[in-house]
Amino acid sequence: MTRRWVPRPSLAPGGGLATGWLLWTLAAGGLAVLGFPLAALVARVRWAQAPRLLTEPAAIEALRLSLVTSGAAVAGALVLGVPLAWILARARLPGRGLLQALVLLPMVLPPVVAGVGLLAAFGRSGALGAALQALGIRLPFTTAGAALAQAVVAAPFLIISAQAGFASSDRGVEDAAATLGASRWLIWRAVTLPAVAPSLLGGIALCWARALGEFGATITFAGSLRGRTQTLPLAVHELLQTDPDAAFAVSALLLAVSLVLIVPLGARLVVSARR
Amino acid sequence: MSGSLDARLVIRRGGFTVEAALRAGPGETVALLGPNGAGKSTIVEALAGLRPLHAGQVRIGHDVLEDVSASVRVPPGARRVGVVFQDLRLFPALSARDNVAFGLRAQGAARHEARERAEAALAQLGAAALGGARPRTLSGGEAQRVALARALVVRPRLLLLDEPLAALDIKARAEARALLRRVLPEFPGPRLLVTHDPLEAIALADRLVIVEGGQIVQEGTPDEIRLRPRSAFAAALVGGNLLPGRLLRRQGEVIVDGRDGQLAVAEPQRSAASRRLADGAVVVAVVHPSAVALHADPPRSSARNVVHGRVLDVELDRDRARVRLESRPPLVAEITAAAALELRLVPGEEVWASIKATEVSVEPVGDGA
Repeated sequence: MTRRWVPRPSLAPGGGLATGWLLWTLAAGGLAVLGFPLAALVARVRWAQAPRLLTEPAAIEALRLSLVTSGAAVAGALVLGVPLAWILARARLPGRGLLQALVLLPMVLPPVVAGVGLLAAFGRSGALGAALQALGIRLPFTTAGAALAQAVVAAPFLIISAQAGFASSDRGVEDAAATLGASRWLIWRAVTLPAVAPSLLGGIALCWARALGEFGATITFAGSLRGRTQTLPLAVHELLQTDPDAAFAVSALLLAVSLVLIVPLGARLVVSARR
Repeated sequence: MSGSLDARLVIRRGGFTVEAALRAGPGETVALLGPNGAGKSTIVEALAGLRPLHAGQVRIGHDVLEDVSASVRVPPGARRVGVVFQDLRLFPALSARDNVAFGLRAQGAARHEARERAEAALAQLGAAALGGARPRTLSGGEAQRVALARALVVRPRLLLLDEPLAALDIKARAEARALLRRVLPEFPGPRLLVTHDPLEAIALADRLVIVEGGQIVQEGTPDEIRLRPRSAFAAALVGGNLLPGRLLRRQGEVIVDGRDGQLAVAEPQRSAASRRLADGAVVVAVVHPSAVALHADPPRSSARNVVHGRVLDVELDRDRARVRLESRPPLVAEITAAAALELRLVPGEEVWASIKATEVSVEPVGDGA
């Protein structure tokens, strides 16, 4: 529905067999570059030891922390990002282009820069650091800080997906509900939400996957403290130096989680491209 | 309790301004007739409260729904204005029954009560079997019944129908027209029907209001407008001679018998509804003006319809002449300017018109009930 940009493979008329051959070769090359490292990773995992490696306290701790922080990041992105997406899609406001760019920025910004920004804002000597400290809130090098870093980097994925949903959902139907006496809340619950649910779910999956994999902003703002801020990607980074076998096993776990999150989305893309 | 609609509307939409004064009494159906882009749907949106007025006011009975000078603007949900939108706008995630129950639920009815009343409303429109279906599985005609039930079940004080038949195919259109003819009289409040189809307006409305370029250019009964069209669009509307009446079969003849006269027709085989029209069916006989031949003397023609009358006026448009006749039924003939000169057609002149039965098409508008 909303994703029409998926290219349909078609051969230009008159291109002939040679062009077709070149096209397929390049495409296969692209697939290889994307897929080979993952295949190599899977091949490198010592599956016999994997259960033991993955149940080591350090790995369990990192997994738990990853789930907690990424879950919190997604929840935060939902609570604050969905209203923002609604406004970007529906409201008429001056400087919307600028606002839109600001929202998209974390998608292209090096995560380490996002982390530095968070330090500048909430760090001990940051702009709001003193104020937060007076309130007894400490963010840098805490679990909450790790979740915040993930949210900053991952929220745009949820926001743009939800925004596309709001923009393409039929406002006429909402008007019809309004003439029937429905409150804003009822319109939202019974009409708007079901219409944007697919976009919202897609956005949640992307956002969650991005939060789970977050590395740069987290290590910059929250460090890599085992049991407090060392999420799975940070654990992999550390394990590569101390216990490579464990690093590969944890990486394979992350790969599996990413697959679970992304495969339904991929299927949706294929379906909408065929329409 | 039902009150009259009384509205003075000034609506700005981009650079376009719509200005209209509308009245409709309880139980009266007023058709808002005009070409695409005339501002008809804008008026509907304004009356429903979905588009703010720039100036003016909307009242139903004694209740002020909107008054710009007094800064009163009742929100759409509190207006009790029922709308059947051109694109229906059913809720895609809800079943037909829940679509109809939605307004009742929104107004606080308990779930089972809302469902029961929704079922009853659907049944009244002959759509009892559709309750469980999702909107996208419904045909155009079925979806329209659901939309109508949804608008009516909350007992609105004003009913707005925006091009209710436009999205339907020809067969469904005839059925929907018959349905509206049956259902509209049961609605006690004022009804506003937006359409660009003169047939629909004549079949369903008591009074026509013609809108062009955001302005009302004429209003009156169908006959008044047919005989004295005040604009090119109004004239084009009556491009067909329209005789509403009932289909009767007598001694091998098929006629349309209307208040304004009779016309013999060929047995309607190509009628929109595929089934044969019953005797007494409510129809509109349509004759294109170019199918009306004029004669200075009683014609010895094989045409089954020969009508005697007087010339009301003659309008020349390049090489064509539109001749309006005072006759039963009232007729407009379109002949060449040369023929008009030859026949010396001047107002008051006696004239005979002939129409072949095969030139009269018959459009069903109701089932004769």
